[in-house]
Amino acid sequence: MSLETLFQPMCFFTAAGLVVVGLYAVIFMDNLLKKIIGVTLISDGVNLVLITGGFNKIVAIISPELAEKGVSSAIYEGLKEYPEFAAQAAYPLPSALVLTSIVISVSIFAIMLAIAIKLYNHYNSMSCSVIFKEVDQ
Amino acid sequence: MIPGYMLMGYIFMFTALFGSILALIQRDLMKSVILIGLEGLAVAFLYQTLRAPDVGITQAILGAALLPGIFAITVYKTRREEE
Amino acid sequence: MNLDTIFVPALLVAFPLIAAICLNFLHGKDRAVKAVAIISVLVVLVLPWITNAAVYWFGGHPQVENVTGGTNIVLSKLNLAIVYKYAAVQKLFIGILAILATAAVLIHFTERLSGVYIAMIMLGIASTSAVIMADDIFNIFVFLEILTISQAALVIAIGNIQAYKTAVKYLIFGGIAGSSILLGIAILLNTYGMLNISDLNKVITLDIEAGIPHTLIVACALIFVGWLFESGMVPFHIIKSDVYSKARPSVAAFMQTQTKFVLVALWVVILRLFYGVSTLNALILGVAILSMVFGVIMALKQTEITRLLAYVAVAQAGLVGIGLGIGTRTAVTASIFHAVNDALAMSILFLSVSVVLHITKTVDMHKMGGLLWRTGYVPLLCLLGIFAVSGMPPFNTYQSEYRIIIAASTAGYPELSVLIILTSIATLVALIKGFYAMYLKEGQDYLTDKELTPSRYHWRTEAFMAVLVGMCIAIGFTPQNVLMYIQDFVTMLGVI
Repeated sequence: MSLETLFQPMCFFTAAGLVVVGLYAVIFMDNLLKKIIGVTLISDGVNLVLITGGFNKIVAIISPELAEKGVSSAIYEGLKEYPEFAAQAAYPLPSALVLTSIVISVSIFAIMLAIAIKLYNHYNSMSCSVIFKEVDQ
Repeated sequence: MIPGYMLMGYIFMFTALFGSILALIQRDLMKSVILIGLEGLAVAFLYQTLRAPDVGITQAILGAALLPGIFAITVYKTRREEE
Repeated sequence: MNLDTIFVPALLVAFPLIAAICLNFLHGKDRAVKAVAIISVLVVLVLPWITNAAVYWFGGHPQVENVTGGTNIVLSKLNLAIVYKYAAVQKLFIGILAILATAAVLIHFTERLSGVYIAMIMLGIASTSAVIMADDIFNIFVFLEILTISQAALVIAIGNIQAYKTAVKYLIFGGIAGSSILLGIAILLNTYGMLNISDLNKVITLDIEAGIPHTLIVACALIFVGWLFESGMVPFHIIKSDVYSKARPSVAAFMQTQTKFVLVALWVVILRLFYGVSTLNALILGVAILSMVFGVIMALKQTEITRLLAYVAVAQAGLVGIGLGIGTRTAVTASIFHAVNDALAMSILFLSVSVVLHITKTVDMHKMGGLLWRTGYVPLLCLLGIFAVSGMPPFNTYQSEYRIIIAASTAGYPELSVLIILTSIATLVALIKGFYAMYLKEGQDYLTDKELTPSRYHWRTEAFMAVLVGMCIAIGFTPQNVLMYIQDFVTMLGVI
């Protein structure tokens, strides 16, 4: 196993690490801001999974033995003439999805942070054990 | 011989993971916001090495500049030290 | 000029989005907001019924033929763009949703209207319509996130600290559940390279002949977690009922309708993709039973009227889930029918609470009462609504619950029938307790007060409640009119 073949698995590992660290922060951290940071880490990790899956994906979609048999995807029909490009190109669909997903997640975090400021102004604390205490006056 | 961009990719992965862990163990919330910006930037460069440059640009703007910006505003409007 | 080319299904999503953007810009100008709100509500109300059933390809991309989908499977047809499918059941769902959105907008119409508030209701219609119609799994994810934002925003609109706490909790849970769905989509995309649900269904059907791939089971688990959050099933029943009880009751009626329709729509997606996973039906049945029982037990011990209704709504969502979990064709038909019926019946109760809260200004059941002769026909309509929710004979829920019970018995779960009947009785007890607290109990301070607040939106709420009761009774007497379309829909799924 060279570093080259390990590159994609290591990217998946990084993404998994981000998701795990984010989940830890959401569940165990007391500060509300750190919980929100945890949600950003989770969404970053999931986006990284999508992009990493698209890396080298085109090679898998038009695999050489299928191309010999004459069967190929209509979407990538034109790419058969450029095998070098096809070997290096990434699958474009995940990129399009991640663009949308990043924008949505940033808008959600903006709302969360705005509410966090409101909660701080009322409780004068960012600690979840103070804010989410079950006893209501 | 390993290509240069992959070597850079490993560095960015390391930065992203340790940036996120360091961000969560800071007591000073402004430092953790800066480290979150670092993590977002590392992920943006990682997208570039993973052949998705358009996503990299968006992540660099939104995840590494705008998001730490609004986090910093929140920290500025609330308290800076974690209790 | 051909009307079919103008009233396309995409307009059902596009029009509320445009209206939401306009209303957002008009924020602060009260008269303009009211004018635009009434126009957009009227259009939203009419649009589902004049749009013809159709399949809509975005961008006009046709299907291509004889291609390899995924890595090594040849498909006869492949969709290249996002597809929306609009048929009779979708028409029914979106039509009912539009009626309840109209109620949510018009009941508070004489007060000062916030442009953003109505924009969020419009965003709710657009996102739920898209989730109901879309045949593209990523499109469904995007609109589920928008749905979470709009529901949280409607809770924030209340403006007290409890509402903020609920909203931030709901957003954190929503972020995690959304990430879970996206991770499932990422696994499916990396395995098969496509997002269209019909195409994925064909590819997966060919793929699982050799045995279920492990990646498919992981994807199923991740999307299932998202389904649990969106439908308020058992680990998430507390946060969901919190959201219902903190929002305005007129909006809560709209939200529980959204939840029930999203429950059905997302379950259809899960079933079409993962019907090969053998434990799926048992899992759905398990969480549905748990949320039904927990919901009704929690409803019995509540002291706040909105929380009581919220837990009853969660329990009824569990009842819908039971039919889906049994998984036979009759059970699923009855279940989707129950989703429609219960959305109508629960809305009557939420609207009646809206009138009561306007007078009493409190949700505590110990501090309200004695409104029986002071609120017009509302108590009568509320009582009819209570009978409708608990499945009494002339109403529509009787028809669907009866069919679920029959389907459970024939599918080999006779004990489930007993559980459903017990739940109905417990629901009736809880709701009668609420009715007693709201209308019958005497001796409250504000009743002796000479200046009892005149409720100015009385007749509009009454009218909406009367319309809903009328629909309940009409469906109750002629269930076959609705069931016919649902049977077609279930047959067209092709996997059960």
